[in-house]
Amino acid sequence: MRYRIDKLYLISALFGFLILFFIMYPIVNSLLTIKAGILLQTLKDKEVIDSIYTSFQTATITTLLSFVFGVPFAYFLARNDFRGKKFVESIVDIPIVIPHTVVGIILLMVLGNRCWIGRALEHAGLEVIGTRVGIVAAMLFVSMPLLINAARDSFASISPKLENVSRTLGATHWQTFINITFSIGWRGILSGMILTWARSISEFGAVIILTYHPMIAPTLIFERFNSFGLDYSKPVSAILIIISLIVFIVLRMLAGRGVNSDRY
Amino acid sequence: MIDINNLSVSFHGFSLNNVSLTINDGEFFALLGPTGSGKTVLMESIAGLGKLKQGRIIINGRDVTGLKPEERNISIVYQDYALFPNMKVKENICYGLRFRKEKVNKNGTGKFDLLVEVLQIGHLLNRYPNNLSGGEKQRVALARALLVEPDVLFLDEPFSALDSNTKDTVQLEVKKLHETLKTTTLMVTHNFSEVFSLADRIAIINKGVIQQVGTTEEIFKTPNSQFTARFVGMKNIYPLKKLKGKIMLAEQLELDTVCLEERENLQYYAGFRGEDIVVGNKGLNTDYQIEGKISAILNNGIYTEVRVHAGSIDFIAYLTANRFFELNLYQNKQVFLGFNRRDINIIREDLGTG
Repeated sequence: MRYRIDKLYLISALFGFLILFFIMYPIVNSLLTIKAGILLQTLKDKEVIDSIYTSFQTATITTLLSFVFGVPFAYFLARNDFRGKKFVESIVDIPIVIPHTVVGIILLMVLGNRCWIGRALEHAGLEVIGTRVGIVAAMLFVSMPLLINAARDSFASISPKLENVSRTLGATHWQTFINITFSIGWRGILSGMILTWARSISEFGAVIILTYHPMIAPTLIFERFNSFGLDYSKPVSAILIIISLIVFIVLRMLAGRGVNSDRY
Repeated sequence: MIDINNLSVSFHGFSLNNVSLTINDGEFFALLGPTGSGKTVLMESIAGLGKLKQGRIIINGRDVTGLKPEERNISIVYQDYALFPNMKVKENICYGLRFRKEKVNKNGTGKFDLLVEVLQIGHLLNRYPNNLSGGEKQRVALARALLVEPDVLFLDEPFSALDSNTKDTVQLEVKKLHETLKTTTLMVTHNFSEVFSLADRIAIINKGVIQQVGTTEEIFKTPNSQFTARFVGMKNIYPLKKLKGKIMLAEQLELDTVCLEERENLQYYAGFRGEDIVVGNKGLNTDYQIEGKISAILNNGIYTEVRVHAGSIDFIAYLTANRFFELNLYQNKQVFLGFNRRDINIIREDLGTG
């Protein structure tokens, strides 16, 4: 039999190729055009290392905070039906549609000393504007929906009957959550955490409005580009790409491990 | 013993109204009703998995109405088994013992070994549930539910997801387990044939209301409503009326052996099983007979359903394949229908005082 080429698949695959090219070419290009000497020199630049460290530190704290607050809320949403649930879920999604510079401005308005919340935080010794706390606040606002949605979908896909059985067999609600719901749904939560972390690392617009110094990596790249031009911002970009990709790939492998095994 | 008193519930869009029911110690009790009748809601309410509007539930003399599910000592086996996918079969079965340490000490491994042996699941213990067949999953779910020695075992449509061969085997195993362990069991199902060999007593439930409670035989022989009669497989139900002192079947055939106590608000029907109606080409030796014309023939494999139009009545008769061919039946053929007095099931339907 002659092998027939399906036109629809052919066109779809062609478009897919264009998309992959569009994503990969700039990344590969940026890595290829850097001279090794400049790269090594940049790696010794304390400002660069500090900014990358700050990025990773704040993104990790953001992810952990999202986890602590978001997972219980996601479980609540997955297991309860109530009036206005759609509305609540829409509120969770709002940060996704607001432009990030606008996020920065509206957060500045409440976390700065013009608003009672900002003043109360300052009174409690927690200065937000111009500190790492501000960076985390901006990252949290834009990235938390990703974790909440991923965790909610993950919990919702687990039959409540499993929890019912666990309860009747003697486990409390807490024990059931730990032994059954979380144990089964952790992979979905972990991929939500990876997305949250990645989204936080890449955040720029909201962060610079709340906190310019200490600088995160994207802020440093922006500053070098503005002050010294493309040649000076390139090496920092390349380093950020390399490190982010490594972390991302390792975490994805971790989350996907055993997916094809017989367990689930 | 379970004592359910005046229970009203409303959740998942289903409601139960003033349900009262007593299930005796060691009894195999079946709750039978169509999909959406509220039977699973009733089961989950007894298990403490739904909020009650009113009512009281007492299990073995202990008022459990306000208790959490984990404090009630009830086990559930769901239709889809609800095995924990993150645990091996052995961990699944022993899950309940993590929280009921006292039972581990009391029984040692004796009970575990017994269940594994009776249910023949020894070779599955180190596998994950995803690799098991439906029947194997069902056995594991049963073992998990029974290992904690529940006061009551709930079976939610336990056989409906199984193919018919596996179903027969598992049904026998459930029967054997019940005879061995004598655990009070409440089975919820929409399939009358499932309860026949298993249940001691049955409650029929429809639209959140209990219609009738009785032994399997009572329900089968003397249903108290058209609904119940249809549900237990009576295909032929016709109103009985008194005309000039005679009891008439659909105003057409006199039933001289039937006596009815006349009361207001009481409507009588005669119900016949398809298999009790005799079909013949000439006069029959039955107590009653009527002539009619075949309006339809449906071959169901094991038996053939013959629909006969007789006067104003449409009868449905079931014939074995042999009998069907013997009689040489075809559409529009004129035939005789007969039935005996012992096959007339009188249905007394209370129309209520309203």
